[in-house]
Order: sequence, then C-alpha cells, then structure tokens
Amino acid sequence: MENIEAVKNFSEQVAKIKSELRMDVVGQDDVVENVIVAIIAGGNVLLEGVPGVGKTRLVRSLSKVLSLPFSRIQFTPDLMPSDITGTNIIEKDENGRMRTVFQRGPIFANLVLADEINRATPKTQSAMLEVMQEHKITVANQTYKLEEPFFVLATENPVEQDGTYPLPEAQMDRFTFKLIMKFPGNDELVDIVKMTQITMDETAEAVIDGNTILAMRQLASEVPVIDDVLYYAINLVSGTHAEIDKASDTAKKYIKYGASPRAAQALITCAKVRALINGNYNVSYEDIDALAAPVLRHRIKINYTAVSEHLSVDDVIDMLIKENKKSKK
Amino acid sequence: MGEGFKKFKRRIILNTWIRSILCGASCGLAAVGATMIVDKIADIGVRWTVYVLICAVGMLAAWFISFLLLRQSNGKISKRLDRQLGLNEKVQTMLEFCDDSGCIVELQREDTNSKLEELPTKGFALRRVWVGIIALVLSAAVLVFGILMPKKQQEAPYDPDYNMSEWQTVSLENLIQYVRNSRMQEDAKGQTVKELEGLLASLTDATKESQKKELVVDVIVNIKEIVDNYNAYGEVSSAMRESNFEHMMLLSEALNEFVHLPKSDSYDQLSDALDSDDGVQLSANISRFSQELQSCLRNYQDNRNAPLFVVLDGMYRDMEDLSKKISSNECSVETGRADLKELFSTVSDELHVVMSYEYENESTGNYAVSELMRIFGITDSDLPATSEKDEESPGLVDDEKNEDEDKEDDDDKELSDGGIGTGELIFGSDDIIYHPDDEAYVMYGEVLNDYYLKKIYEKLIDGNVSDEMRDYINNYLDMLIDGSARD
Repeated sequence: MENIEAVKNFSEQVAKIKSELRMDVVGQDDVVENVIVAIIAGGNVLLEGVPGVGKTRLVRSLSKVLSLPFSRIQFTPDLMPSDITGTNIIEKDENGRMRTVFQRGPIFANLVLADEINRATPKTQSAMLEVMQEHKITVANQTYKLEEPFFVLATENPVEQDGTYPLPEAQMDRFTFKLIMKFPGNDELVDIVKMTQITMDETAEAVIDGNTILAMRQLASEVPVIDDVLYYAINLVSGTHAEIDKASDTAKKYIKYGASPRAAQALITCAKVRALINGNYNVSYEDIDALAAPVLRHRIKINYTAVSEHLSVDDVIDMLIKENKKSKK
Repeated sequence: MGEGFKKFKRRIILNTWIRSILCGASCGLAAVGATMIVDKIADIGVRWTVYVLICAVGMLAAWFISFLLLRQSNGKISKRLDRQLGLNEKVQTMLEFCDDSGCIVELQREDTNSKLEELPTKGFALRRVWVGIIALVLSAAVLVFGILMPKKQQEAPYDPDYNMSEWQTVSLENLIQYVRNSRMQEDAKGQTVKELEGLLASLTDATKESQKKELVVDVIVNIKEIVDNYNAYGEVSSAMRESNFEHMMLLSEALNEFVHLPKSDSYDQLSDALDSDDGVQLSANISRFSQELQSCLRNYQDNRNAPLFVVLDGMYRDMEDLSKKISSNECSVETGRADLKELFSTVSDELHVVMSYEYENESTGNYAVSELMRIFGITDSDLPATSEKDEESPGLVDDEKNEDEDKEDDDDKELSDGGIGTGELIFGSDDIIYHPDDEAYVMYGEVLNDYYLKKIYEKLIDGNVSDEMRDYINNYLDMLIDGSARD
C-alpha cells in the first residue's frame, strides 16, 4: 500500500523539487530535470556551461531541497588528491599524546560540486573519479564509505581550454549525463537579475530527504521495460560503433569512437526514472529518445567528416535517433 | 486482459473479418470476370456451373488466405493500439508483463486498462477498409465488363458468289435425261429424276457457293437414300454371310450371279443340296433352309417393301409350307420334290429381275452422285459421314474391281470410252478450276481447250519442234481431251 502511494506520489514529489528549484534557478528546465533524474538514478552529471549560468547555484539549491549536505571543490592545477579525499593528521589528544586523526576532505558530502574538473591534474581527476565510481575512499589502508545518496556534479568550462587537462573518454564514461547549460535568454536574464537583486542566497526549502531519494531509486528500478524498447535502446548504443555489422549509416559516416555498454545501462536506468516522473508506469521509446543526447554526447567522438560538415555531436545524435526510429519493430 | 483491451481487440478482429471478406469477394468476382473475358475472346464455351464454381472457390480461398495473413496476434494488436492511440507502449507493457506481480507492474496494468476503457472504439480507425472497397468495386467492374463484352465474332468463311454456268445447266440436264433413260426401277427412277429436277430449279436461285453446296449435298444424300430404300441386297447378303449357314452362303453367291444372268450355278447347287428322295430328309432340308432364311431376313429393318426382300420373304414362306406338307404327308415325296423344283425356278426368275433392278438402281444412283460431285465440285469431305452399316454393306457395283482394272498393265489395256458413258466428252481430269474470263468455276477441259488451241498448238505449228515430238505432244493432248489417241 505504501509502495503504491509512493509510486503515485513519485511525479508529485519530483514536481515539488522542481518548483522549489525554480525559486533559485531560472530557466534551465531540461538541465534541472535531467539532474534530478541522474540523482534518483544514482548517477553523476558532467555539466558544461560558461561561467555565471548557475551551475554552483543549482547544486547548492539542490542540496537544500533534498536536505543533503553539499560541498564544492574548486579544481585547480595544484589540487592534490588528498585535498579531495582528506588526509591523516597528527594531533594531541586529551592526555597530550600524539595521535593520527583522519581529516575528512570535501568529498565527504552527499552532493559534491567538482568545479572545473578539467583544470586538475590527471592524478587528481582519477582520485575524484574513483570516488564517484565506488562511493568509498581508502586512505592509509582505511576505507571510508560515503553516505548515500552520493552525487557528483562536475563542471567543465568550454571557453578556457589553456592549461587544462581534458578528461579522457574512458573517464568521461563514468558520468551518466553530460548536460549543457546554455546562456539564459533575455527574459530569463531579467528574472535572474531581479531575483538576485533581492538576495543572492538560495531561498529554496527542503521538500524531501536522502532516504526518500533512495526509496525513489528503488521504486524506479522496478519500472517494467518491454523487450522492444530495450532492444531499441541497445540498437541506439551499438549503432554508434562504426566497426560492427549493425552499425548505423550515421556512425559509419560521422563517428570515430562509439559509446560503451555503460551508455545502455544509463539509458535504461534513467528512462525508468523519467517514465515515473512523467506519471507513466512503463518505459517508452520517447523516454529513450529524450535521454539519448545527455547519455551519448560525452561518450561518442565525431570524426573529421562531421566537423568539416559543421555537425555538432548533438546533430549526429539526432541523426542516430532518426535512423534508429526506422528500425523500430 | 482487461475489458478495455478486449473491446479494441473485438474491433480489430471485426476489421480483419471485413477486410478478408472484401478481399474474398473481390477475388471471386475478379476471377469470374476474367474467366468470362477469356471465354469470350477465345470462344471456349465455359458453362455457368463452372463460373459458379470459380466464384465460390475463389472467394473462399481468397477469404481464407487473407484472413490468415491479416489476423493479428495480441502482440500486434497491442502495438497497433499504442501507435494509433498514442499510449506510449502502455498496452505492449501490460501484455508483456501480464503474468508479473509487483507494485508498479500492477499499477501499470491498472492504469493502462483504465485508459483503454476511457477511450471510445469509434475513434479507432479501421485499417485500409477503403482499399478493400475499391478492390471490390474494381472487381465488380471487371465482372460487368466480362458480362457485357460481346462474343468474338467468328469470321464468316469466305463464301464467294455463285452463278450457275451454262455448262453446269447442260450437264445437269444431261444427267436427268440419263437417269430417265436408265433401267432403274420405275419408282426409284421417278424419285431420282424428281430430286434432280428440283435441284435444277433451286440452283438457278442460288447466289452463294455455300447455298449451291448445300443444295447439291442434300440431293446426293437423298439419291443415296432412294437407292438404299429400294436395294436390300447389301444387308441381306451380309446377314447370309455372317450366318455361316452353308445354304445361305450359296444363296448369297446366287444373288450376285443373278445380277447379270438369269441362271446361277450357286443357285442350282443350292437346289440340288436341298433335294432328296427321302421324304423325311427332304422335309428336314427344306425346313432347315427356310429357318435359316428366316433368321437372315429377321434382322432386316429397312424398307420391307424392297423387291428383293419381298421375293426372299415369299420364298421362305413357300418353303416352310412345302416342308410342312411333306412332313405331314399331305403330299408325296415326288410331289414335294417337283414343287421344290418349281418353286426354285419361279424364284430364280424373280431374283434375276429383282437383282437386275438392284444393280441398275445402284449403278445409276452412283453415277448420278459422282456426276453431281463432278459438275458442282463437291468433295467427299463435303458429304456427311456414312454410317458403319452403310460402309459394311457390300454393293453390287464393285468400285475396287474398277480400281484394280485401272492398275492393269497399259499394254494390255484397251483404250475405250471408259465405264458407263453415253458418248459424252469426258476429260482426262475432272478437276474444276476458276476461269477468270467466265468468272465461274468450270471443268478443267474447258480451259484445256483454250490452252491447247491458244498455247500449245500454236507453238506446235509455229515453234521449232521436231516432227516426232510434235506427234507425241499431239497424241498426249488428244488423250486428255477425248481419251483416245490419234493414229
């Protein structure tokens, strides 16, 4: 009974989260929804956007709405892995004896904003990504498990590329979504200015907690997916590999490297969440198509042919979706 | 499956039935229409029962096959519902997970069913029924076209105009005269002359070759019938030979011998065979003979007034009476023997007369037929087929014998005017050819005259030909004309 209520209330709860977030984040509805989807699905998000579009504000508001501790890590080239994870320090105890105490790093939060992750060295990046993957830290043979739900929102600045260490494709694959925060339109900018004239602080209030998120995650995992939709998602992912027999014509023409199996996992997991958010109790083709771009854009690499034809990754993904629709049974 | 799904399923099944019935009806009508068209073009002559069969089989087969192809499983129905009603794979999910339990699965099922129940079936478009309706209309059009299409007009065979030539008129008149002067039996002669005179009158009005042919063939058939009515020899002698009775075999030979002579060796042999000085034997011989004769005559079904039949029938009755008299001792053996001799003598005279008539009837009839065929260009294929009976019955006029005579060594053959003739001009060939100047069909001889006079003879006179060659050619042409060689 509780479960039925929880399922029926799923979309209402997400709607509450959105409406609270709108109080602090103007526009960016798709980004907000996908971030919520990723959190519920248990994934991490790579956010790309020019400075000042609200990336930090989004995560801060989110932490308030979800009643989850938040921390922000500004990645710089001199940032060390221990700066993220924490380190052992020596201090005197009550008796004056020296003892080793683990000083937790900023990673010990539920929501972590990894700002400009591409500015840190590969060593530091890999320490961060290891935490993202395993949700635990090992320091001096001591393992510290991170509290669930654990969510990392990493950002990349597309403008400043000098002195950066772009994430390798294998590392990018660990992010569930890559979302683009676009510069707001004039109307949205007006709203932003008006709002921040009043206060710069986030005004959103808590509507749910971490346990509810975990419960929602569990509910979403039970959403049924028919075989046709499953194969549709799998065909979309496998079609990005130009070297296989079932490659799509688009892949053969425009894609250098295709998406990994994590893309198929991410598609299905997130599609389930999206279905529930929209009040549906099953995954549909529409859910797969809607999540294809966030899932694939950081996982495929377009070739020179696409570049020379002035095609972006999103353009190629649109072509993949159109071609995949024709193969629908 | 919930009620919502079932109601749409019923509608889809109805759609399938409608489409398959339309398909069946279209195929049936189209098949019948196409068959009608082919029948009228090729003039096959298809019966109405075949049309009914084609229609029924075509309809049933097409309906059955289309139903099998068009019917949809629950899976296909669910896909169609999702697509047409915009249900985002709800129905497919409900179907695929119909056996699963779980909070969300059950909610999904409930949600889908309620949505399906809310949606009216009227809004659910039946697929491509209009295609079936159009197909039905087209098939009906093919059928109507097949019905209204006129039958292939058979080209009328070439039927040239006919105008009786003077030569044909004269030849026919000559033939009539010939028959009048013949020694046919009077009744048969009268009927034959009447047929020929009627033909002469009718042919003057004939305007087409087909008319002429029909008139002449009718007369030929009638003449043959007249002769058959008056001649009984063929059937009677066949019966006698098939009986295998020794006496009947002798009598059959005797009949043939009586054609030309009043005496017959076979007849005498027969008389001697029956004679006996023993009364019992005599009676038995006579009785046996009469019974054999009776059994041969019993199967004769044609004209019982034919003279030969009358004579033989009388002979059988007299013989039977005589046998009874002898056996009952009404008369003595000697009287019986004398009566037998007298009876045989009387009958022999009658048989000679009768057989002579039969011979004349047949030969004159055959001549009249062959002349008609020759004069008017009638071939054997124009005549109706003869019955087996007619073919088996032997004739008195032996055609094979005449053919054999034709094959005799030329050195031994005496040139004469031919068989039965009246001294008329008989050409070497009886072919009839088209004369362009007369614009009519004429005897080959007429053309030959022109050809001989205008072509060959001029060449012979004026050309550079040796005397011997000239004589040879002259002789040859003369033979063609009058059948005799010049000295």
